[in-house]
Amino acid sequence: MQTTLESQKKRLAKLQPLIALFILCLIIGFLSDKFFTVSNFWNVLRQISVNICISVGMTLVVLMAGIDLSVGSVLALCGAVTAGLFKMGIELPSQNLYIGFTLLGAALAGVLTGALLGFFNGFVITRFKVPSFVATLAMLTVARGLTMLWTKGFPISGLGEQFAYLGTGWLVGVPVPVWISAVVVAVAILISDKTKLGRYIYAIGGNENASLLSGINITKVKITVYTIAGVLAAIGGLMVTSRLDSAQPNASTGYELDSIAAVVIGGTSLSGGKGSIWGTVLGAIIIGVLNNGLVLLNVSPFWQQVVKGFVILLAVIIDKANSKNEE
Amino acid sequence: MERNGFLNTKVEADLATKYIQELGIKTSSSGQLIKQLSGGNQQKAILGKWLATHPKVLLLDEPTRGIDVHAKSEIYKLILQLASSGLGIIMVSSELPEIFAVSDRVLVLSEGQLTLETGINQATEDKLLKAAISNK
Repeated sequence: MQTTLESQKKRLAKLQPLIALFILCLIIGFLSDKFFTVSNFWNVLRQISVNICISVGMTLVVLMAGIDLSVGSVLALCGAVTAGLFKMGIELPSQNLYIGFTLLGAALAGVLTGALLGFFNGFVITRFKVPSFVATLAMLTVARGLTMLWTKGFPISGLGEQFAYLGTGWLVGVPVPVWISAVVVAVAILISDKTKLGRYIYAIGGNENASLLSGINITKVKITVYTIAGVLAAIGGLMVTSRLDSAQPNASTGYELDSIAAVVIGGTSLSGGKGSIWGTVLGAIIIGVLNNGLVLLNVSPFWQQVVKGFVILLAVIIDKANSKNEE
Repeated sequence: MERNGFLNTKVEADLATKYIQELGIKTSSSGQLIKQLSGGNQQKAILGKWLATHPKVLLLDEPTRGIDVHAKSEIYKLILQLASSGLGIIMVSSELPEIFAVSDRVLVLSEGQLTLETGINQATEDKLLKAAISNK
């Protein structure tokens, strides 16, 4: 009897973000008649798809008790690499050489860049035992600097309709970015719940020493996860660049904070081992709906930041109270 | 339990149920967190995890420390049962009655040195204690 009550309580705790989202939607819908419209629905989903993409990678990292601060910069660099290669190719005047890129080639190069940067993060963290906070903070600066170097500080614009499809197109009545993020989420849930890698990620976050002693190759798992985070940031970069039809050198500053916020609001513990991709998706939707609602209600964007900050605090406080109940 | 990196959750659950029954772990379900079980049942759950890897030799370091008498005797029963099924078990213990209850052969270490090796039939409490405090 007591145990069923406990498990009910636990189930309720899991539903909390969903209930919060529901109430939030009701309030905004009550205050603004534009909220519950089909176009606004897709609008919100389209806006959050980039954040969902990044946050899924961030969740995997945070589940291992790590953190990845570099996602915003990596996103910008990968977007810029793709845009630059697609538009201008590589010119080597000394060798009298010009390499052009198709759209697919340029996009792959961008994703590869993200993978490399993520791999580098993982390598530094595992090989030199640098705390993930510091290693990825360094990468935040490095990738931003590389973006500036690559673009010479100017946006790369005018990428054509074909490229714009990725960020602005529709497929079977659903925006393309929403498809992309849905696929990313589905694959990530599969990884975290149904694969050995997922089990290892939770194990490392729960107790790294015990994981090591039970024979888990921690180095390999960590590098894999940081590489995944890099790839997902790159995919986000493609979407942002395509949507704006331009790679901005200072695009997506502060995206790492939005994604950490989504992870935390979704109930994933920053100390690792506890949480879920699904929670993060809800977290990202809550942030997206909140932003959207504040815009619809004509609240100044500066207030939006204040509100978002308090929502994050509230989420963590509720989470703390829940985990105390558990013990 | 796993193929190409994908988990088979059915096999996983079956294995959990199997060891819960075999080791007599008292739990409401296989989904219960191990840290919410009682001390003796935690110990048995860990033992179950190890047995699931089909070891040839089992190392037990003070397997009964800090658990109640009833759980202790269950663990002894388990150790004897496993040993008779052909599993090699090396148990570290500082409790004499426990050593006499489950072992076939005793090795005594003192300050990192092996001071006595004897079959359990030749062993007496006196002999073991003397070996344990001697530093050669």
